[in-house]
Amino acid sequence: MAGLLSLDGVTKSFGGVTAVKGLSLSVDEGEIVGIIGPNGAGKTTVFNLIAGIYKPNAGRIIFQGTLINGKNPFQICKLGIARTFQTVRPFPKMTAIDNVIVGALFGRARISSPSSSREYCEKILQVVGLYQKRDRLARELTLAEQRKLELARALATRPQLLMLDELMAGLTSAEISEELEIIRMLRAEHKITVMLIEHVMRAVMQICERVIVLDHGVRIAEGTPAQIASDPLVIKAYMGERIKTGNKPEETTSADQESEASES
Amino acid sequence: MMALNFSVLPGKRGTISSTIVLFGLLCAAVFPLVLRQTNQTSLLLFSIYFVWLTLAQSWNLMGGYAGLLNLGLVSFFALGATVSGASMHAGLSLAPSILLGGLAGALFAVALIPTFRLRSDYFAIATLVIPVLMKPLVEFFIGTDFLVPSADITSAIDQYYIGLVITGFSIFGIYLLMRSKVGYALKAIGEDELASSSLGVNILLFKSIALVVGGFVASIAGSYFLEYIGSINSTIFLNLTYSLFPIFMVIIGGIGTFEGPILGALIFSVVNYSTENYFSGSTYDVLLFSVVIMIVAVLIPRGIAPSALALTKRITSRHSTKAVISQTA
Repeated sequence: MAGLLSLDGVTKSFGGVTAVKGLSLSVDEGEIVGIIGPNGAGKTTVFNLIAGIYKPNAGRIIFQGTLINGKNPFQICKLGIARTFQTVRPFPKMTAIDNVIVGALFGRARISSPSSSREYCEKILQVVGLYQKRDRLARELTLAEQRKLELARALATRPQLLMLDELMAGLTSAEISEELEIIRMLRAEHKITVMLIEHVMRAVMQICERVIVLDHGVRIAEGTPAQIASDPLVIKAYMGERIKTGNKPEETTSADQESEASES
Repeated sequence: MMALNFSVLPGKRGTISSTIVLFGLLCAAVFPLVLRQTNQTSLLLFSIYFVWLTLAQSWNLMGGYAGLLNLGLVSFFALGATVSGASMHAGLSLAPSILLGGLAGALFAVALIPTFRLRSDYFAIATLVIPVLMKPLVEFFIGTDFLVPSADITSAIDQYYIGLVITGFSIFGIYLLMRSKVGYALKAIGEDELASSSLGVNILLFKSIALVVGGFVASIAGSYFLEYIGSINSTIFLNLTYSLFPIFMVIIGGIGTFEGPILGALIFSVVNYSTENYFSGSTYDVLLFSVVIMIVAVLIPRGIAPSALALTKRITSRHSTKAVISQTA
């Protein structure tokens, strides 16, 4: 298995806040890798660095043997990296199918005309379960449907690496199971490698072969879901220090607020 | 039920409107034949409508679809007029002169591409200043006063048909462009730049295409305007009317829609015509038009065309649900 993506000592700071500190990681072809961590850990920043929205201050990002840091988001998409956004960003005044067609026309799929991409895009909408809503405007869809649309749009670019940023947030248990099924199918049938940021632990535990835990921009743990779940460092990052009886839990909450502020 | 399906499908909506517009253009083509021999005023009235409509088309492409807040449309418009005026003086006949005016605008748009590096609000301010800078440049390199040579003066009816051809090309050229790959990119960019670039859309490239095509169309409108008005001088660069009115038309009609600029320019021309005829003063049209803008901005911010379409959709769907209910009962 060849390494598809690797980050080597990647650092990104915003003013005085270092969101990602000397991060190194690698993702192999066909893997499903989870990235977890408390709020403000730098997870979304890592996605934005890979997708070219931010340029790293230091370090190298290599995709299929080529250095991609410094490239524009659209170039990176054409190379075969697609992503969804944590807060959905559909094109609200375009129909669902037109949203997907944009991905098909300009991504790695590079289909030459809107009319010839229609069939391909309808198939993708069927995969994510939005076919019935294909002619609805994106703004008329529910949040769960808009998340599916984001996924469909990313898929339409024909990616090799798919980065899903909290795809499951706010979905019901049944919807989460559906999404997990789709991700498994994508890997099995289309050989798509998946990186996902997720707070829904059930999803992470079920689907990821490997989980990377970030805290304050640093990787604090890596391993199988089972290993991660019992790692004391991870538990500390999420829960804070064990509170001694009599102490108020102020420390944890103020730290949480700080980290949330730095994320935004 | 058929009616419901029909009205809900947005794909069909565009085709219905474009059929209506095509029909309108055909009516306009036979209109002078039906007209009594030399009723020149109504033909001239249409000629100025063609100018406004073409300008509104240009701005709708840049500002409505691609999200380029261009406040300096007059720079293209005036450049087209001056270049075509100069080339007519140099001995070129009318049609190539108009085309040359358009090409000058397209070339100028290419020169403006670096301004995309500015954030969108600074881009807007830059476009506002550009015509002021262009006036002395044009005076130095091209000239100050531009007169249509007597050989190139056309009859009212010829002028009408030239305008109709220009308008038809601008409407359906942009219509076809928006249904192509370029159109998808522009609509996506206009709605969300970050999301579009993440889907592989080269924002700089497609914004440039919008500016170049829009610049070409606006400059053609300017070239035609010179033919209509007979003479202009370089102070036209400072006339904000040609920058702002097309924007108002597009906003009133419906920004980023196919119908918007057509409807907006029509409303403007009617207001303009009626004030000039019944109040005999040219300032009243601005006043009345401002009132229309305020009403639209408060009551139907999306513009007339989208709201009207939504209304007809609601009415037809209510009708068809009633029909379904009565059938099942």
